Amino acid sequence: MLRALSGDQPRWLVALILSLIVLLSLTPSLRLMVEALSQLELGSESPLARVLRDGATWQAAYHSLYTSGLATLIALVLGALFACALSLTNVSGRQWLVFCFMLPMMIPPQVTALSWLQLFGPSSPLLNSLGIAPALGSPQPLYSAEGIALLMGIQHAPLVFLTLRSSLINMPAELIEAARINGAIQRRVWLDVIFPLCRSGLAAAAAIAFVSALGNFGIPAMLGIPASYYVLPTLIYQHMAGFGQSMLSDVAVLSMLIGVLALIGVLVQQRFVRRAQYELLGHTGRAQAFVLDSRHRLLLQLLLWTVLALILVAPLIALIISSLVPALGVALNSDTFTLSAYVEMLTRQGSTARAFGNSLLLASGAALFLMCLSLPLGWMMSRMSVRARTSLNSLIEIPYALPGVVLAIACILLFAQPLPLIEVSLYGSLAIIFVAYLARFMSIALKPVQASAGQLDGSLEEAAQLAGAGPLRRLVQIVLPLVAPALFAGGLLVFLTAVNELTVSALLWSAGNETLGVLVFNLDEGGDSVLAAAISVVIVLMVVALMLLLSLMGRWLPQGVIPWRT
Amino acid sequence: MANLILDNVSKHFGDQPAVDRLNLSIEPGEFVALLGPSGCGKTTMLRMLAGFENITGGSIRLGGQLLAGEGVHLPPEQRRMGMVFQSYALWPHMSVAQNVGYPLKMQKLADSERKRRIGEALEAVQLTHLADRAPKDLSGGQRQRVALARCLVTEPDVVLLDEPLANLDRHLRASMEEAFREFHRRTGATMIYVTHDQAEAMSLASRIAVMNAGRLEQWSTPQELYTYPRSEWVAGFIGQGGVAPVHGVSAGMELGEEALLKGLSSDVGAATPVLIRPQDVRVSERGIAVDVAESIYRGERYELKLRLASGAELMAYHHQPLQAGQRAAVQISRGWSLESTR
Repeated sequence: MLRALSGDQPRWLVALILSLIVLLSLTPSLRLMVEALSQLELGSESPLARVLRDGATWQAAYHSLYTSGLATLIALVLGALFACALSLTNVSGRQWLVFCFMLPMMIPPQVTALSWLQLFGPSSPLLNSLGIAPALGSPQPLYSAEGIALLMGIQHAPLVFLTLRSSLINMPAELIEAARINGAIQRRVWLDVIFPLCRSGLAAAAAIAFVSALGNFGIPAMLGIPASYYVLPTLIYQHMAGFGQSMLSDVAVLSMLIGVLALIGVLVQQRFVRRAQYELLGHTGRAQAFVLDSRHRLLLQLLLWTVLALILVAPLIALIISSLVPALGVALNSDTFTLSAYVEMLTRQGSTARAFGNSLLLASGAALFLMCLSLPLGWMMSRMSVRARTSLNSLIEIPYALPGVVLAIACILLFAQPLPLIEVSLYGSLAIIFVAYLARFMSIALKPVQASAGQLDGSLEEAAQLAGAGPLRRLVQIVLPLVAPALFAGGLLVFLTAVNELTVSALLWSAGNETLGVLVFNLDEGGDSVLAAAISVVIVLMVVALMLLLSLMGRWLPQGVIPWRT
Repeated sequence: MANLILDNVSKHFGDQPAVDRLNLSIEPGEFVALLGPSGCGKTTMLRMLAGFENITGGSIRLGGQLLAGEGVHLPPEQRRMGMVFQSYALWPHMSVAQNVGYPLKMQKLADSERKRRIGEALEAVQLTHLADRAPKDLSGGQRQRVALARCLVTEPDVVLLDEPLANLDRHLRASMEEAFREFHRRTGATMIYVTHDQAEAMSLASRIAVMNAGRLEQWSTPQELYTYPRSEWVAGFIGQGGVAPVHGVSAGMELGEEALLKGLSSDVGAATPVLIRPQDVRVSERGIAVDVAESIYRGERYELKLRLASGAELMAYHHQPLQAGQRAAVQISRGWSLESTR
């Protein structure tokens, strides 16, 4: 790979960056595989055989497939509705519709779960305030497989939306117009042209939604564990809680199992994404395929906003109301209204403040580090041969594509012993979470930089080279200013994702080192839902603010860097 | 067969007019070109004919049937027109034969009848041997012919063509122009052809609508358009030549040698722009004095740029080069006075 690079980039920099990538991306997965496949000589007593024999494994695998499959269906329906409405018709208020529809993906799963829990059940402050709460003792309907699937479906619908939208936007409007002028009524246009042309996009969207649901930890943890309904990631979490001689080997096998399932999904997705790229000629996005008259347009807008009200606004209102009452089950009115949860959050020293501090530190640290890495890396990769670039990209994608649980277990295995030579143990400190974040979010930081560096005209640098600028000088003085917006956007995206992260930190945290995600999760588990709701409200506000900030930056960024901006 | 009548057709995007009160009356079987620079509204006009854009004023009628206007908007699928798109718009998931047969499927024709008509259409464009290919395996010219066959197959009364040659190289254009002529002869359909290329419009169309900034500048045959352009703008857009201010004449007059000699040297009365084509300018011993600005070799002859005393530039052809800066004299046998656009 070294030889694939263009000559004058400094060798030491290239070598340093490449070895860092290999360390971060490859070693954890390799370590996991070694552990999972260890002691095979024991035959039926090997960890692999033991886990595969266990009924709980197969039950959790079945639960995972069932909830993920159902979630995929829900995500497909929601995502397809929005993708078609927003890319093929003339509905107005597009920007806001997209922004609101993308929000569920950016809101962390534990917060989503918490807010939905506040929407249903006998102790829902919202239902109590409206006087329509079910009788005490009636079950919480969300503590079920279908509840898990519903929430995961809503959370991953934006992924379907994005995948499908890109194949719809790339579909020349003329193909649809040609069908209409040749006498095809709307139904035939859908059946004969639109559906066949986005079939591969639809399959790719289904695969990515399925993989994401498979790796989702927050939602099945908050909704499944109380009902003793375990999926693979929560089964691992449960195993980790119990100590035992063979515990680590067992979870390694389980992790490998999810990893393999996810990998199959990723391969299917990539196959279909490639197929979706028909050789399409023509002008894209010039005209909406269906220009609705004002009545139908209003109806469609009404439908879209109603859906958003149900899947986004209602649970968030429930969350806010829950944060304003003294205890769950209390109706909100002028007597019960209290800000005590917020006061407690701000003033109580201890876990809350510490978790905020830890998460901000981890997220900003990871964002800064990855920005510093992405700049030379993106620059380097823009000069590589297509093959070298593709394989390096897949390498960087591994820790992001694999479910977070898998990466967390791999990191535990990797850092359980003190590091060689320096004899420092990362396990039980914030550092292990930090390293895991670097591996997991590298691809998020790199993608915008790559897109931006790929657009740079090579002659810009050549001109600087002729003027006598060496490689590092060119990187800082020519490339950096031009890719700076993308670099910053990548950093913000990393921050946004890392500050809310739960899956990895849920397995890697230790006393004193909890993150925001873990805090919400633990508070809810410990019954302090009101405080959890207050913290969640703050988190949602932070997410919205960061997303708006990114939107404002949008005009300086290449297309596709900010998912919700088109 | 039916004539196509555009009555005061307008299209506003916001308060920006894209097409402004356009009137055209197109006879059945005519080959009409909508010609104009990019952004003049010609494509918008075509899309309104097809029904992809609503009109915001006026009406469109085909043989007495109201297609658009007065609160009516017939959707494209009910207008029974054919259209050839700039990008050809072949469906990539259908074979050549399926692409061509799709309109027939929409008309619910029986299988055997459909097969027969697909065969005929493909034969007409000489693509029978490629019936089972996918569009992506075809060359640009072949794709264009598939698009034509798809139009041909339903024998529509009106065929719309949106810059169909824009994506082809120069070589292919000539042979595709021939294919369009053949298509027109065969079907006798009314054809509306959008282009920004005047040579294409001149060689194909029986009548040309020249559009500028959403308005109709002139509506006449190619010969009339060349010889008698209405305004200074049209004269500058069509063909070659120079425009010189001539005194003592009014717009819309044909001027002979005497009148030009007098008008160019006089400064009495208002000046009117007069179009002078290069073939009407002859370098000679005596006549109107000019400065030679440039002399360019064009193969079969030299192209001269000449400057009149008034500063106006003329163009002329000559069999031998002249020196730039040299003085010369010309005789001008014909001029055509124009409406000033300034």
